Order: sequence, then structure tokens, then C-alpha cells
Amino acid sequence: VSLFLDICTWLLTGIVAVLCVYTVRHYLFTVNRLFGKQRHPYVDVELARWPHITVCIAAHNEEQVIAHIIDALLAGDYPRDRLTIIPLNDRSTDRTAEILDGYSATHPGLVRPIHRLDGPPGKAAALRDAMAHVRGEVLIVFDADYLPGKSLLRQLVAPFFDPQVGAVMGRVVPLNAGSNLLTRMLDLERSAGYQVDQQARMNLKLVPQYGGTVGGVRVRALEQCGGWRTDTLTEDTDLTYRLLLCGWETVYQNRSECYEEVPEQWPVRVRQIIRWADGHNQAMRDYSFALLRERVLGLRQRIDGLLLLGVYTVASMTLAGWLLTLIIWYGGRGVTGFSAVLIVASYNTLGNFASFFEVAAAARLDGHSARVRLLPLLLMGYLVTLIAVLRGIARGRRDRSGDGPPTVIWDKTCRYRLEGSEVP
Amino acid sequence: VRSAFAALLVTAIATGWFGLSLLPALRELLVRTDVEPLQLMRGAGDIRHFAISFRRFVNAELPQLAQHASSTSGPGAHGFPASLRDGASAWYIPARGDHTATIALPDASDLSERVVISEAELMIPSGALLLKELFVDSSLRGGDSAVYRAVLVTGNATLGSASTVLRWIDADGDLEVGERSVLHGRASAYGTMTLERGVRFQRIAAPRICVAGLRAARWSDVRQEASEPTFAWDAAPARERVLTKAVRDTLSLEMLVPPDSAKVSFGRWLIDGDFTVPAGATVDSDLVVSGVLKIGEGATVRGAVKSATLMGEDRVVYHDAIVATSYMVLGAGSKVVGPVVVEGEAVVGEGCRVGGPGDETTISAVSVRLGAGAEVYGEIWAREWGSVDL
Repeated sequence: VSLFLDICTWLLTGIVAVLCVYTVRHYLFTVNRLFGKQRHPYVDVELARWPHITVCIAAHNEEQVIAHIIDALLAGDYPRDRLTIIPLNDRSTDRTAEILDGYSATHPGLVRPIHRLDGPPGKAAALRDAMAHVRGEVLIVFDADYLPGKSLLRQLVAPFFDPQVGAVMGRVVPLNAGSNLLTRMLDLERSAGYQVDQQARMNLKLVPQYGGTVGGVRVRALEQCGGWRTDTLTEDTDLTYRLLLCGWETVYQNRSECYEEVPEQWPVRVRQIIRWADGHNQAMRDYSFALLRERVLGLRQRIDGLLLLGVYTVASMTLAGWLLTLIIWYGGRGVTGFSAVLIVASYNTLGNFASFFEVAAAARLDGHSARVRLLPLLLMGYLVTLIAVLRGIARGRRDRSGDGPPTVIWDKTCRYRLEGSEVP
Repeated sequence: VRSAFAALLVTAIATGWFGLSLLPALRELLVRTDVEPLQLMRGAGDIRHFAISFRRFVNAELPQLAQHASSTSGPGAHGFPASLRDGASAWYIPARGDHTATIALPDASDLSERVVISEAELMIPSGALLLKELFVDSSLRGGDSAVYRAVLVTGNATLGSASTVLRWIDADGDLEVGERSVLHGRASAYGTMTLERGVRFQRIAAPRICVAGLRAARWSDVRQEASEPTFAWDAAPARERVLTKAVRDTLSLEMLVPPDSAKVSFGRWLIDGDFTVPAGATVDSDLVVSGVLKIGEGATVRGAVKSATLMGEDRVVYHDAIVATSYMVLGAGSKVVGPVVVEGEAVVGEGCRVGGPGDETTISAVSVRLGAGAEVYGEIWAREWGSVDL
């Protein structure tokens, strides 16, 4: 029993130490964002010889929203003669194909849809198939529910003039923020995740994350690091690390904002988190040691990269920490000091990417004084996240029923916008 | 019973105390005072954003002002006071039959607080103080030491020496900025913008921005007759950025081979530390250098360049973009095709050319210093200050 309690104590010490590191990280990011020097090096590039780019839009049964994003792209100010739009119709059974063919007919050469009828499912697989049709140096990727503004493409392409940049990520802003409590909480979380967390990483020259949409990849860099992987649920996180290991930077453009739809129903949200947690943890397994070994990267980048990889383990570590505290206490050992630190660390590491004070800081930076009052209710969202993350770790999102290697299981994210509705 | 009551009371107090902290959240949840999505700043970054808004405002006012002018008996030779629809005081100068006539704005102190709208060519007296907007539907000639808040001119605009623009100026034609003038905020022209000695600026844009003052003898010294650079992205598709030996042979240039320390892949040299490109050499790849990059006189870089510090000597040709994380110097007579992004100070030497006719580009830096005879086709963003150093 004594040995068991010793092991528990050491485990608890380790967990508390890791949570303290995450706590410091959250504080560092928040303080940097509020008071530090802000880096937006490429935001001023408005005039340039713009390269030819391809915009890919992943679409599976997106009849409600697909026309909106194509209209928005066509209304943009990116030079038409240097733009190709490739909507990726991934086996849709609704009117998506018909709508896309309509655009192709009215904008020949500019809108060139690809209709996938077979092959592995998912965005990464669709993107991989599209690579043979990609023209130019830069590939920009959107999900179908996004609404890019007039100048967004230029803003996302500008960083690629930097020969060290392999990927660019813009800021995602929920359009249906006010629909219900869930969307309001997600709005706060998104705000903190981008406005504080991503921008602080950009400021500190750490590892901003490519998010798979409202972002772009340099085709050369993508080819160098092996193209799109189809056996992962988070091709974006995966790509961020492969680029990093190949010596390419990912940069974040906080002012390249784009509207999206966030889930309005809890089950949809839970499935989303399960997918993210699974994919993220897979990236952690795949790249942690490679990151430690890579000497080209600075120490700060390696540490931040590791912490980012481990972000979906924080919830389970917090839970394990409390469980160990109970075991040790009922085993007759004193745990007062650990408990005190664990309480503080647990509070400061709640959430996926952004803790509560990051949310408050982001709301302030965005000029939202009233919605920040919802902050205490985020506890409820955190509990749901905690359960979803644990389910993600326990179950995974892979189909192992066949003879071949397991394939990823994709869930279609619901859309809430009505077809033909007015969008900003 | 008493202990049970006490326990209940403590529980109730604790619950109430906890619930108190949720009251603002519950109120916001029910009352919904802040539910709109974040408003995205779409278009405010356009250098002419304010000018376009003001032009729209003035166009809406002009019919009323013209009507007012026709109904007013004997308007003054230098215009007359008027009121705009939003209640602001204005000074209106109607168009004259003789389009060549230049109207001098009266030297009256009360004009400083009026929006000045002129449909005739206008001359601003020296030392004038115009703290409201100025619109000239013709050309503008400003006297020395005049101070303007915001200026929109549909023709050419000339600012006298030591003029100050507090917010923005936009000219549909050429814009000449007199020596030692200060342009706060935004300055733009659809024609050529000429900056004289000692001008300071923040954000300027024109199809051609040129710095005056390079002596003819020096001009021929720094300006090279080399062939025009072409933008690298146009020159070769991405997959062909690493030129094959056969292609290299046909180019018959003195190609630089990468140093042993460089990681070479996919058209890019990654170099940890400092690096020097010898004079006259040609680099066929993108160059990413973590330390100081020195580029020798007359060298050619066919890819993009990134380093912490870039020290370019004279007459270097950059076919692509330049990015520096702290400091950059372009030697005299250098040519750059792509954008220039510097997270510190950018020095553009005498007779340098950034961008080209019909091929506009951007210089963005914390501070920018322009040498005599420098030409920039496009836009310069100096986040703190830009200056003309002659």
C-alpha cells in the first residue's frame, strides 16, 4: 500500500507540475496580448504582384450554404485572372452538385468543381484528390459555411511573400453567435482562442496553429512535407507540425477575419470535440519525439509545440489529479499543499485552448463588455468538453471493422443557415 | 433540529453566495444585450477609405450648396458661408465661368472651423489653419506652413513647404509635397506623388511615389541599365523553382552554389547564422537566413529573401519579396519587384526602385527612410514614421 501511495504521490506531483506549466502559459499569453508588442507584419501588404492561387471549399451536402461562400469569393477583390475556385463536392446527395455545376457554367475556368464519387471520406482525402487540379503557388482552404470578406484572400496570401511561411491562418468569427447559450459560449471561446491564444503565439514567435479553414498552405511546402494525410481527423494540426519539422512557419493573421457557423446543438458540439481530441492526440503521438529531436527549431518553439500538442490531455490530467488526491488522502497521507496548488492550477487550465481570463481579455479586446458576463456559465461548457475529450480518448473515431487499416469516421457538421437567407 | 436547521442555513447561504456570482450571467442570458456577431472591419484598411466617405458626403451636399449660391445675391469673390445638412458650418466657393481663375481662400480666422468646399481652383494662403475638411473640385495650391485636417482634391494638389496634414489627403491627380512637410495619417494620389527634402509621412500611396533631389551626375552613377527584373512567381511555376542544370546553363549567369551549412530543398536555402552573397553573383532560390544577410554589389536574387538583418549593397536586383525581422538597407540603385516587409527600420537608398510602372507593390516597416531619387510604385506604410533623407 505504501508503494502504491508513493507512486500516486509521484504521479500527482507530475500532474500538478504539468498543470502549473499550462497555467503559466495561459497567463503569459494573456499578459502578452494585453500589454505586449503586437506582431502583424503582413497586414499592410495591400498592393503586390499577387500569385495565382487556388481556393478549395470542402463540401458534403452543403446545399444550404455553398452558394453563399462562392458568391462571397466571386465578390472579392482578388485578381480574377489569378484565381481558381475548386469546390470539392464529396459525395453529396443533396443539391450541392447541381448548384456547383451552375456556378461552373456561369464562371467557366474560374469555378471548377470536383465531384468525388468514391475514395476515402473526409476533407483531407478530398483535398488530396484536388491537388492534381491546383494551380499556382498557394492553396487557400475554406469550409462551406464560411463567408469570406472582400479582401480576405489578399490578406491570407500576403504572408506567403515571406519565403519562410508555409501556412497561414486567419481568424474565425461565429456568425450565429447569438442563437442560443451554446453559440454564445462558443463565441467567447473562439474569441479567446484566436484573439488571445493564437495572436500571442504569433507575437512571441511560437507555433500558431493552422486551423484547416480560413487559411492557406504553400503548395511547395505541402509537397515537401508529404501532402495531405488522410488517416487523421485533424489534418490541420497534423500539417502544422509537419510543416514545422520541415522548417516552414505557420503564421496567424488576426485581422483576416471570416464568419462561420458554430454548432447550435450540444450533441453536434460533443462530436466536434471528440473529433478534435482524437486527431490532436494522434498528432501528439506522432510528432512529440520528432519535435524534441529537431534542432533547427528554437527551444521556445519546441516547448510551445509540445504544450500545444498536449492541450487535449489537460482535461483528463485534471480529472486524474483529483482522483489521485482522493486516493492519497483516503490512504492516510496529507495532501493539503497539493490540493491547494491543484485547485489553482485546475481553475487556470479549464477549457481547451483558452482559460477563463483569456476569454475575458479577448472580450475586452473585441470591445464586448456585456457578453463577458456569461463567463461563469462556461463552466458548464467545460464539463461537457471534459466528457467529450474523455470519450474521444476512450473510443476514437476510426472504423476498424474492415480488413485493411482503420479509416477515419467523419461526422457531417449541421448547418443552421437557411438556403437563400441573407448573409453579411 | 437546531443542527439540521444550521446545516440548512449554511447550505442556503453558501448556495445564495455562489448564485450571486451567477446573477450577471443569468441576466445577460435572459435580457440578451450583447448577442450580435463581432463586426468585421471590412474596407476600413483602404487608404482612401476616409476620402471615399467624404467624397460621398460632399457629393450629397453640392446640389444644395449650388442652389443656395444661385439664390444668394452677390456672393463674395472668395465664396460665402453656408451650412451643411448635418449643421456643420461651411465655406462654399462656387465654380466660376473662367475655369483658369484661381481663387484665393480669404485669410480669415473663422475659416479654420469651417468645412471648405470649393468648386474652383483654390489657393491656400501661407500659414492658413484649416481644422475641418477641405474639398476642392479642381486643383489646389497650398501656401507654406499651412495646416490641414483632411483634404480631398479632384485635380492636382501642391502643398507648400512645412505644411502639415493632420489626418488624410487624397488627390485625383498629382500630389507634390513641399519640403519639411508632415503628412500624418494617410496621403494618396492617383497620379504621381513627389516628396521633397525632409518630408515626413506615415502611410502614402500612389501609382508612382518619387523622391526629388538626386543630382543628375549621381543619377547616372546609381541607376543601372540592367534588364528589367521579373517577378519570380511569374517566372517559374512553384514546382520548377529549383532550376535544372540544363536551364542554369542556358542562363549563363554566375550562379551561386549553396553553402554546406544550408538546408536546400524545394527552391529554398535555409541558413542558420549569417551569410554573404558575393558581388555580382546570382542566387536562384529563396533565401532564408536567421542572422545577417549581406548581398554584394550588382548581385541578383531570383527568389524571395528573408533574414533578421538585410544589408544590400548598390545595384542589387531582387526579383521577389524582401522580409526582414529587424533592419533592412537597400543600396543605391537597387531594384525590388516584390513587396518589402520589415519589422524594424527600412532604408531605401538613393535611386532605388521598388515595384514598377503598372506593377504596384508595398513597403511596410516600423520606420522608413527614403533616399534621393528613390521611386516606389504603390504604397508605403511607415507604422511610426517615414522620412525623406537627402
